[in-house]
Amino acid sequence: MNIAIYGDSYADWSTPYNYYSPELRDRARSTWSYLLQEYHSVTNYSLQGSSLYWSLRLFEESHSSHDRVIFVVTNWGRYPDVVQFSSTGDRLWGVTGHEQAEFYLGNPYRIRLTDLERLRLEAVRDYWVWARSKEYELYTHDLFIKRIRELRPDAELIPIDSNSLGVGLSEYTLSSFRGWGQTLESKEGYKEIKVVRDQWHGRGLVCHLTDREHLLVLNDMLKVIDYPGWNPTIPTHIYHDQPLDHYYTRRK
Amino acid sequence: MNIAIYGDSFADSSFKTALESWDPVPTAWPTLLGLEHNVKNYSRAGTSLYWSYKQFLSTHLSHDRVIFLITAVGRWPNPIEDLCFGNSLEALDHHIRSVDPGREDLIKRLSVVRDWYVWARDYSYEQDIHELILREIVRTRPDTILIPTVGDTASLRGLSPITDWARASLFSLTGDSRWHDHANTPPLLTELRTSCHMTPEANRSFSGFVSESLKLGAWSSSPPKSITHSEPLSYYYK
Repeated sequence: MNIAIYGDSYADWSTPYNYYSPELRDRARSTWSYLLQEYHSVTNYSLQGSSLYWSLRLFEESHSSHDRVIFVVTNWGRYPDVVQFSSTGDRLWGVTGHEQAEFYLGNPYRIRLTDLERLRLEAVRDYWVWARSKEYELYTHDLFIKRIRELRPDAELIPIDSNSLGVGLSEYTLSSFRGWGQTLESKEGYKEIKVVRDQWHGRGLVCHLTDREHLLVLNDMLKVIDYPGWNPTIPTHIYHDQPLDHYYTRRK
Repeated sequence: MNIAIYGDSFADSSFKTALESWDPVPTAWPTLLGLEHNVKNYSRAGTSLYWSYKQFLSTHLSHDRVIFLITAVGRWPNPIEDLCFGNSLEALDHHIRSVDPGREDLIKRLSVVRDWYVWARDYSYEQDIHELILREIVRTRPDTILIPTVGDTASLRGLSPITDWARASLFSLTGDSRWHDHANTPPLLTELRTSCHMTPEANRSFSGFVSESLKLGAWSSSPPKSITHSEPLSYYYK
């Protein structure tokens, strides 16, 4: 079958971060989106850090060429556009929030910002700090989901974090943390996955998942392609050959 | 009929002009429409389509009919503080200059919004959101009479914007045909005795068209080419 994948870093195995790291580039071949190519004809439109709006625009242009659509729905509130730096050629970079804008402003990798690129990133960063409207961002996020469903009722909408759309891809991570015997103490109102992201930093993970998790996601993706309706049964505990600190380091 | 009006300064009867002593309310088209119908006007100058849409969602069910003036694409969705909407660079610059210098927090927020418009905005995004909100209005209330204000809403291109009435009156007052040319208008004039950005005569004409549209159930799309005025240009504009 001819499959299209839209989404963010959870599906983008060719993320530019991998481009700058031979090890990560190699590990990209273990991601669910890469492995899916062994079973189906896959076009992967995902981009790390991109917004739902950015994916929606690609989807509007291209979905009709594909038999099935897997849409990894990123979290709300990202910068709608993506950025391109003159120093990194035609690579596109998503901006997830003020921290990532700040990160790019620090000239990481081979990025060398021009004055205009710097002004744009500063404006994007300051927007999040000073002027954002969460209510508006949530509303527009829902509008985009409605639009995807309207254009393509058979699209599989898969959130990165569990929400009203269904089980999120980050649930696999939570099961792994349980498998490592971790208790994720959550402040009231905080999702467990936020605790993981706040306290742990992935080491050598591509698309935020371990190889074991990628295989489980792949299995669930293969099922949903044959039997529409994303509703995976994720084991409560996922066990790995290696301990937690092989995959994550604790943030300071 | 019990009618709700949603929109920006083109429907905000109380929107003031440069002439302090001028009361725009009596000659504004929503006021004139109120002579025939029971009108509730939710419009506010400078607001975004999103802001009006929120008023619409919470109130439209109380009204028999809805008139929705579709404002320009790309306005800041919510007021930056109270009535301070960042609807253009000029407006933001004006607010930045005129707020109390002690309000550093507000000045910072206004400056950040300004920088967003200058360096980071994505006009395609703003257009797409605009169109999607418009669909939601129609989906929620299919009998809504949609009237464009400046004509930059792609899906409403076939409909005459309210600015065509302002253009018709300026053409009548100046004899300058460039007022009919959307791409090549003469320099803007400062409004003195106007309401909703139109002369009282243009408001009367526009109110008549709105009345007719309420009977037809859709916005009529044939604005007048000229509008007769009782006073010269200098009475209305500087």
